Amino acid sequence: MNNGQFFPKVADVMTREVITITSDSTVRQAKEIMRLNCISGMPVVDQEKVLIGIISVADIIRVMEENDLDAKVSKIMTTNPVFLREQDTVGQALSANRQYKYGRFPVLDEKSRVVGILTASDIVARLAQLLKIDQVEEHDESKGPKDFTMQTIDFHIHGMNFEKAGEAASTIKKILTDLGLRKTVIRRAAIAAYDAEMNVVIHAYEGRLIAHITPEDVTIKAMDIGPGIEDISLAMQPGYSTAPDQIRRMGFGAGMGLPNIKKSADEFSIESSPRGTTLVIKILVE
Amino acid sequence: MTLSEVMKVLKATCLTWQCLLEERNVQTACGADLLSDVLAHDKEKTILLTGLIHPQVIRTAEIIDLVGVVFVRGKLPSQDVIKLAEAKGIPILCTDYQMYESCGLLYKAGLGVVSNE
Repeated sequence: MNNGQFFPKVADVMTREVITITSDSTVRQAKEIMRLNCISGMPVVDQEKVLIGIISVADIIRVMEENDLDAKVSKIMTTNPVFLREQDTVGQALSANRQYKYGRFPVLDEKSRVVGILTASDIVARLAQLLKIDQVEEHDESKGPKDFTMQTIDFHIHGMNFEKAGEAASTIKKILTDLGLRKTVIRRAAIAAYDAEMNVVIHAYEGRLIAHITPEDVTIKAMDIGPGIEDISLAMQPGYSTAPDQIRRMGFGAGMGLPNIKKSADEFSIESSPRGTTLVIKILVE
Repeated sequence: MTLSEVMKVLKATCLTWQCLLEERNVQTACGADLLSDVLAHDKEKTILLTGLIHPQVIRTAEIIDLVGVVFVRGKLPSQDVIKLAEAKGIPILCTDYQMYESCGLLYKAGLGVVSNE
């Protein structure tokens, strides 16, 4: 899905089976729909599916306190809700998520009809799924002849998603193994890719891990959108880490990530600004 | 030493890939609760002894081709960890011995440190 595309769009990650309600339904009906579907809110639409409001559990609790469950949804819904467009990027969706703190955002097409819904956990889950799809495709491609000219594999990495953290490095390792590269090259590339991937997961909001493989060398590029590294020479010192305690409890954040990457690489460069960080790691095949 | 000998020495139970225990040879071990230290370990045919029981342990094991993982101090991993280890072909052993005892028992049984070639 990511042919030359930087980051996925909202349409790639949203849930398409969106449960909606019309404004002339009663709050009692809304409560039942939400209970049966285990959801905590839903968009309110007109007959053409055009968004006119949103209703949440909090709204319903308010009505229950007032003992007015037969009121119309239109009376209690939030009008002018914040929404996303299908073609917005996931980055924009994440910043909307941070800005508004709502649990969910309706997604509209060009005619303002509700075509999906997006929650932060959707983004995480779908990116993980997309990553998996990428891996299967790439893995199949690697079954080709061993006298390859070059291959590029591109992964999206999502900050703080520990469930899938490491899958990109794992896939890169599999592909290098299938290409029949030397064991030490595979090992160094896998370690560098894994440390770079974990750095994105731990420190950035989102990023990409790109492996470019030629018969001469393996280049791994990790680019992220994140807070950047304040002092690169300090970050390169073994043992220096800015990882939070929860990360350290997982056994990371020992301050060995960048030094390990550098040790694994034949060529290594790092650039960082408050907008993000780019690592380029080159490992010679022979 | 094979993984099944490791299992005997540590009076361990096997949670995944029991069928591999006989055939997998272990040359050395790495005892660590810091995955960055494990990633810096550069010996082959290594088992990891660790008190960490989250999925990244299995990912790390896969990246550096560990022959198996031993969870010490009687810790039991979640089903997610077991499933991941099954998918990645990583045998998991669990022992009640704590880290120091586990390392000591294996060392005494002949599992030493391999010098760099």
